[in-house]
Amino acid sequence: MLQIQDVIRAYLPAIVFVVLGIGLGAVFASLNSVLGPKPKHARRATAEPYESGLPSEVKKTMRFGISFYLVAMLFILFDIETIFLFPVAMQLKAFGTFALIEISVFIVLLFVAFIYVWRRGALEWK
Amino acid sequence: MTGLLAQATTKGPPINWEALSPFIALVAGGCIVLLVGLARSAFIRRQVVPVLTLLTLGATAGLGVWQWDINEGIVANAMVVDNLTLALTMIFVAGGIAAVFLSWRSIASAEAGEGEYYALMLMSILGMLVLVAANDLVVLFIGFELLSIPLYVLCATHMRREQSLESGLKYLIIGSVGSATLLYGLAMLYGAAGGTNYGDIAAVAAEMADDTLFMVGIGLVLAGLAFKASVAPFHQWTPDVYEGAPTPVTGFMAVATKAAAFGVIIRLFVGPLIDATTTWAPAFATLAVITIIVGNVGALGQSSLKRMLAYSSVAQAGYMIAGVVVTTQLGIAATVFYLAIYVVMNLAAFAVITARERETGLGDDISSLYGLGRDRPFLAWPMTIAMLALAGFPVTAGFFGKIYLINAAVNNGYGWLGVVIVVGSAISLAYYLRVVAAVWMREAPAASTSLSAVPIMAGGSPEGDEAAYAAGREPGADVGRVVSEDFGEPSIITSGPRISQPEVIFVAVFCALVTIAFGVYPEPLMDVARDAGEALQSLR
Amino acid sequence: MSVTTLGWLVLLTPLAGSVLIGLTFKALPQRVHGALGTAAIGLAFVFAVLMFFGLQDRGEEERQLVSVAWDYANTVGVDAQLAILIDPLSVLMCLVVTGVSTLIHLYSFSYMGGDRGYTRFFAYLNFFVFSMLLLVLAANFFLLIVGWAFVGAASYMLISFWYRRTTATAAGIKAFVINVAGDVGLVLGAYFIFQGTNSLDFLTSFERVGEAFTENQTELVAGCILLLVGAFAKSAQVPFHTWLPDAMEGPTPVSSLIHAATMVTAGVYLIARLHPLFEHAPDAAMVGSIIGCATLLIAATIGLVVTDLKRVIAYSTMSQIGYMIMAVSSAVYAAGMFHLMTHAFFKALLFMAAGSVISAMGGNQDLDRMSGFRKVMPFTFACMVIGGLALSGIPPFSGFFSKDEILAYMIDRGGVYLVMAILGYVGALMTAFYTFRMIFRAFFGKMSPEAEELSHGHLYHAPEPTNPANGEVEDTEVGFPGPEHHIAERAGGMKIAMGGLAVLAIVGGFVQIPGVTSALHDFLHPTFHDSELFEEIHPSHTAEWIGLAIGALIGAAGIFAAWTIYGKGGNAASFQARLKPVHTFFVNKWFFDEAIDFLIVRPAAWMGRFANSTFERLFVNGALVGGSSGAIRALSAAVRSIQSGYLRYYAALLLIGFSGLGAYFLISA
Repeated sequence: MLQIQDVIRAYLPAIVFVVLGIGLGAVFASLNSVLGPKPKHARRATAEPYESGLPSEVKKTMRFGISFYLVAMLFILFDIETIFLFPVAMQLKAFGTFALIEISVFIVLLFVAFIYVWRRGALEWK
Repeated sequence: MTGLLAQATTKGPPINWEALSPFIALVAGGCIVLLVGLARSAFIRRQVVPVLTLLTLGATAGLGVWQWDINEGIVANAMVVDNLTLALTMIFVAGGIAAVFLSWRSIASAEAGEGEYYALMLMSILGMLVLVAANDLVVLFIGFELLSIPLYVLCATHMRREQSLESGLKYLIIGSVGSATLLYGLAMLYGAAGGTNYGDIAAVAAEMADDTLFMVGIGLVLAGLAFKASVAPFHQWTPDVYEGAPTPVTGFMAVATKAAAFGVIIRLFVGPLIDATTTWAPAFATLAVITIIVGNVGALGQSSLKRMLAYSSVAQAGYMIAGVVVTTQLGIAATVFYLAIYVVMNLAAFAVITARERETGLGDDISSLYGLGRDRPFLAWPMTIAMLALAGFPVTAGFFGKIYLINAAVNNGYGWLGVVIVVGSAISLAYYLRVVAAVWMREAPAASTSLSAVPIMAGGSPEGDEAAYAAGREPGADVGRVVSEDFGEPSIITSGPRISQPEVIFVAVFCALVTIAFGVYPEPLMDVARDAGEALQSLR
Repeated sequence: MSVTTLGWLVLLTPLAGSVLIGLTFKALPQRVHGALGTAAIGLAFVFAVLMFFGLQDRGEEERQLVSVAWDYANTVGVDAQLAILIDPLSVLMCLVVTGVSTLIHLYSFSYMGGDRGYTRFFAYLNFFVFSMLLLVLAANFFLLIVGWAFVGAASYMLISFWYRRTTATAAGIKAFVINVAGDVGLVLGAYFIFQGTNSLDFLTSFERVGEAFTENQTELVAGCILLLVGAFAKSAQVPFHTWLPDAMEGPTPVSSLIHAATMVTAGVYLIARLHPLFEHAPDAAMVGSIIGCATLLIAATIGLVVTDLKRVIAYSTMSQIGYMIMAVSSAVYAAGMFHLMTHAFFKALLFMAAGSVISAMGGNQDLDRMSGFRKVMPFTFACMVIGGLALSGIPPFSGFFSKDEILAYMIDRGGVYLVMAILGYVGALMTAFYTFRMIFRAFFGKMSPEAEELSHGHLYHAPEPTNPANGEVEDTEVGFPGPEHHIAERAGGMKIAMGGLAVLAIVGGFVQIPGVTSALHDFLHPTFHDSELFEEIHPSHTAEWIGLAIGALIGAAGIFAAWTIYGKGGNAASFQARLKPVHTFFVNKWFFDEAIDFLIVRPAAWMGRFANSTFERLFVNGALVGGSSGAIRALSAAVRSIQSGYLRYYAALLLIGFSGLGAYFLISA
């Protein structure tokens, strides 16, 4: 029979995570309004829900730089790389050197791509 | 204990590195080309990069020859390297080498940046290789996309020309529809067979031959692949894309993509789906008839040579289906033979078109060939030979290509398809001979002829090329800007000064010679094709 | 060098010569091209001789060699190979062709001097020799047909060599059309044989012919008769002979080489080469014998009355080839080939001598205007007499041995062949008569004005060049004969060539003297080892000598008759008047041209007019062409109209396609 304590113990990390998350988020949000510098006049950008990134509400004629997409796409590309590394890293012992070689090849290819992107100037904001 | 050992050996899939070597060569070559293309020196980008590309292709071909006759499944049986794969590899490499020669001084490669251009080409070839070597539905799809995506980009590499961009965009959108269809079909096959390996599919093909799921899967896969092979009614992208893309890319696409598409069709349909032949062969044969008719009548009256060749490639695809539907080794050999000669016949024509585009400013209009017979024998003869070969004249390889296909069709109960091929060839004479007539029987237009605003597609003069190259010194800079300034008001030259482009003429002459050589003595090529046919041992 | 290598070299040297002359036609002076052409053929002759010795070094059983350079289309089930067959028969032909050709090239080197088409002439001539060698060396029907057609083409080009001369082009077209009719026969015949034996290769199909066909099976007989049609057309046998006299419009060396010594004997070679087929189809062989016999008589009768110097020799050629065709069709192979060889010598010689006389006449060929050249052209006269004696079968000249050997063998075979042999002797009588009629009229009697002029040391040239056949005015530019004429007495090349052939015409017969030597018969044995008749028909030496003696007597009688009518300075008017109807009949060449015109040309022309005006206009043009091209045009418009350039329509059509395929598979599931 399942004891309530067992359930709590099993979910304890999640509960702690949720509580801490909410708590910390609330603290930083409130601290910001208490401690942060206050402009004389409210600016439009700081009134936005998200200070960086796309505006949440746009007119249909709005244009913005292509560089944003480029950087975002490259970011995702290299970000995903990490995800592939994790399972191999976890089970490296089980898979042995083969997996190591495979993942090295993978990284080398990405590295080539990285050099290319870098040298081609795709990471510069224009 | 033994279980543990077994587990230890299955840690990685068994990989035959030697058999995989052509693939590895292409990947490595592609990376190197891409990186070298970043160099600041214009010399390195313009001269070293193509040479490296050629070396890569040469290495791939060499490794392929080395692995001839190995005939085994590699990478956990997800791919098969056999003579069919390797024979087709040779065809891809041949197409690639010719495309490199044709691109050597082209605006397209300069605008796109040499490194990217050639790396994309190599990756596309890799995709073709993966596609025809695939022994698994997933690998098939990876190959398919690896082949397609670089081509979408390559079509648009002539960035300052509207048609090129249009061509790339059209190809991308329609191509995505094709890919989606294929993927949907593959999913259905997987659902019906319960496995993605060709072996799994082959195991159930006989009993599932009239299962709805399986059959609709076959139908969708057929449509997706027919799209790539430009089989009517999935051909409509072909003329537009061929016309808009830079001519070297068109040439490459016409020959190599076609070979890859037919390679995978053979591999899949005459492989695991062989037991379901009775269901798919009639449909495919019907498509062949439609294709032959549509391709041949569509090519009539086209004044753009690339459009004409696009329709012609549709028609030729129809002929080649005949070699597939008969599902015999003879048929496969005939198809491979035809693919091989199709490469040389078309490349000779595309080389001449490339040369004339650069010289005349008339683009790929048929009038760019006027007067060629009188003073440019090294362009006139290859064009003539290519056209006669495509039409199937004796003493050219095209004659034997058609003979073998018809022979294969007639030998296995598709005599009526043979008749359709002959009728189609008869119609095709009308437009092929029109080109020959343009070459030999028309006078070059006078220099004062005013022209429609056809933009110059490629370097009108060595100076212009130099300017373009000079502008390309900064990687990523607006390479084409200078070019478009230079050529925005093209100084229209009709008869065309002879610009130095020995590599283009070399491709034209060499391909024409090969066409004649195999027309006189087809046996060696036929031996290779026969080896490729024998790779599918399940067949008669 | 191995025999096969030599065989290929024999074949390639003339081709190389032709190509080289063609490629350098602007770069080098004319005379060099002449020398080049002559040297190429001379080299081929040397190779042929080496090939002969190489073959003799081999064992009796190993004297049939096939060398395959490549398979052309093996994969589609046709064993069409680029292969040559070297055996005694082909080597003999090679020797004759290259040997005579060398001398004729040498002759042309001088004779054609001054002609504006000199270089072209040698390119054509070398090409002809290549084609002829291809024909005789071919190891299968495929190459044989190629060679056969090439030879026809070369002949056409050379007959029409003076291409601005209307009569020459007409003659060329006539020769070409009739030869193509023969080509069709050859191709169809080869197809019949291939259907049965399933092989294009000579030796293979010979081996299989016994199993594939029963004796005299209809298909085989039909095939062989079709092959004979090819042979008849090429060898100018009745009723395909009418092109040969007209072919004399070509330059004299052409007549000498192609229309006397080599090409026209291709039919004889063909029958000898394919003897296993004909022996298996005796009915077809009988057709060959009868046609040969008919031709030798018909041609000889026409030769009696023709007044054109070259045409007399042309009809004589037809007649002599009739002997050969008759011989090889009657399984008298060795004698037939023997006569082929000797005939090549003396007939080429006669033509060369005739060419020399024609030059002296300023290009005129009319016998009626020639007389009295004996004194002023002693060398030509001597050559003409040697050739004439050989042709008439007077001992010890070569024709004496060869022609009479044919007849002796025919007698030995008996039956209907005996009748043919007797007709052959009748032909021999006429042969001697017309030969010496020609010689007496041209060389004896009062000197003609041209001969007079020559006796004063000046060669006659017409004040204004005209076409001797119809009097049309010509110039001497390219496409017409050149301004200069050359006679043997004044041109070294011609003299050497004629001298060489004269010697051969005298001694050529000694290779095969009954009771003394049978060198040729033994040499040819390996080719005919599978023929029973080759050994079976063998008259005794006594019988042969009797036959020879009869032949010699008949020849002498013919010459005597010619002397009494023409030689003693009298003219033949009274003689002609007495035989008016026969003479008319002969002068009109048995009305063959008229008959062919009435039976074939006019119906064909009528058919053509009908086809053109009615059938073509209404049915073909209207219904077939109009209908199909209209349909295709409509389809083409439809295809272009859906090619709108709009992606949405493309996607829609894709969808329709998918749906169609999906529906098909759903329904069939």
